[in-house]
Amino acid sequence: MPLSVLAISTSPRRHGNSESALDTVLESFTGESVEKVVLNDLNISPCKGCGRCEKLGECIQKDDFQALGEKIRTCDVLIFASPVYSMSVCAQGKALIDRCQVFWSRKYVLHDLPKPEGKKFGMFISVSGQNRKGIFDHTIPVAQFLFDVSQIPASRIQYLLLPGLDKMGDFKKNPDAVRKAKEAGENFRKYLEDL
Amino acid sequence: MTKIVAINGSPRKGGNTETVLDAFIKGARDAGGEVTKIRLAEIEHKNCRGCNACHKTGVCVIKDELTPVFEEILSADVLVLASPIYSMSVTAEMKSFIDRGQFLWAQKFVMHTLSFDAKHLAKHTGVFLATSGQDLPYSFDAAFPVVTAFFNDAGFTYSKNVLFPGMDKHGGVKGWPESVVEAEKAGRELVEGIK
Repeated sequence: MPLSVLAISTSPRRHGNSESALDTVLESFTGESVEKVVLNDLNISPCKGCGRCEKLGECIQKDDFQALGEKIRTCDVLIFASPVYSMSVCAQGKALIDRCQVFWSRKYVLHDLPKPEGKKFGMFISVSGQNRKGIFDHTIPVAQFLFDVSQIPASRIQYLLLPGLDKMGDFKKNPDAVRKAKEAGENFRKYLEDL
Repeated sequence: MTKIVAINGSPRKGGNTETVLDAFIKGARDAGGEVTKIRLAEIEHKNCRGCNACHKTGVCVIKDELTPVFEEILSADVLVLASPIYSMSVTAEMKSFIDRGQFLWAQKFVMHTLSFDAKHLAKHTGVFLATSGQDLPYSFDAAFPVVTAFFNDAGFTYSKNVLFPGMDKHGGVKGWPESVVEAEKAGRELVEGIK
């Protein structure tokens, strides 16, 4: 059985740096069942904080989250790519993650979130314009929330963090960043094969 | 008169964040402050597209109900950013607002058409008011840099946190009336301190 890989690009900018890094990582996953989702093509409203999911186990808002949430819940490998905007994931990514509150409710309140059939693994790809130390420190905890409620434990998350890529095309022009992304993809694939 | 703009990033009307924010506002008004409250969930606004047009023009290509809000903020003495913690950061609503502030960053750091001198910064105060369900020692840590980024770009000295961690264990503001008293006191003291 090929692995089911769900790759989510949160950036509103098509073919920008974080999406290009994601595409490079995905090159290592040919032969697997890969689905790449561009969040900007979907309609996902922010969480209303109504708390209904704590009782119902589902979200009352009906939009593109239902289908994507189900894919997040059932995939073997979740690769989540976001640029750093104002020191965190971009608003598009944050809207998706906040909506995953339904999984938090099922995991921690209702205790009815089905255990994944196989082992689940994750990779967080993030790209920042600035180069300063700790630039990803406040983005990572938000991504970790997503992986946690997607039933991917911290020990099974890989990270590809690429600072200093600001302008459109900076990733592709930076051989070091491209090499890092290639290696991250290859290593991740190998890690999954060696299990 | 001290002019205060309070941005409420909570999607819930009358929830914990709005209740303590309203108490803060009451305290500020009692001390003579003039307060405008804006609920982001009520106004039509789009996410930043990452188009970077503002890096060339200094203005955002998106014109919607957030556009006049930014003008209102730039004429305020005090800016209050209020948000519950969702998935370890500010809500998607608040993140959407902050990401849209990118044009201010562009004016400051790319175009150099916007700057705030020490005198301005000494007179403009940024306040972060936040609640969290869980009571973790690091509940707010990943949110601080996000609001810091906005306060810096908009010319406010971020000098006060009004934080209410652990709403869940208290049963919300209803089970924690002291939180409302404390918020009201913080609002009053803020305006008295400015006078």
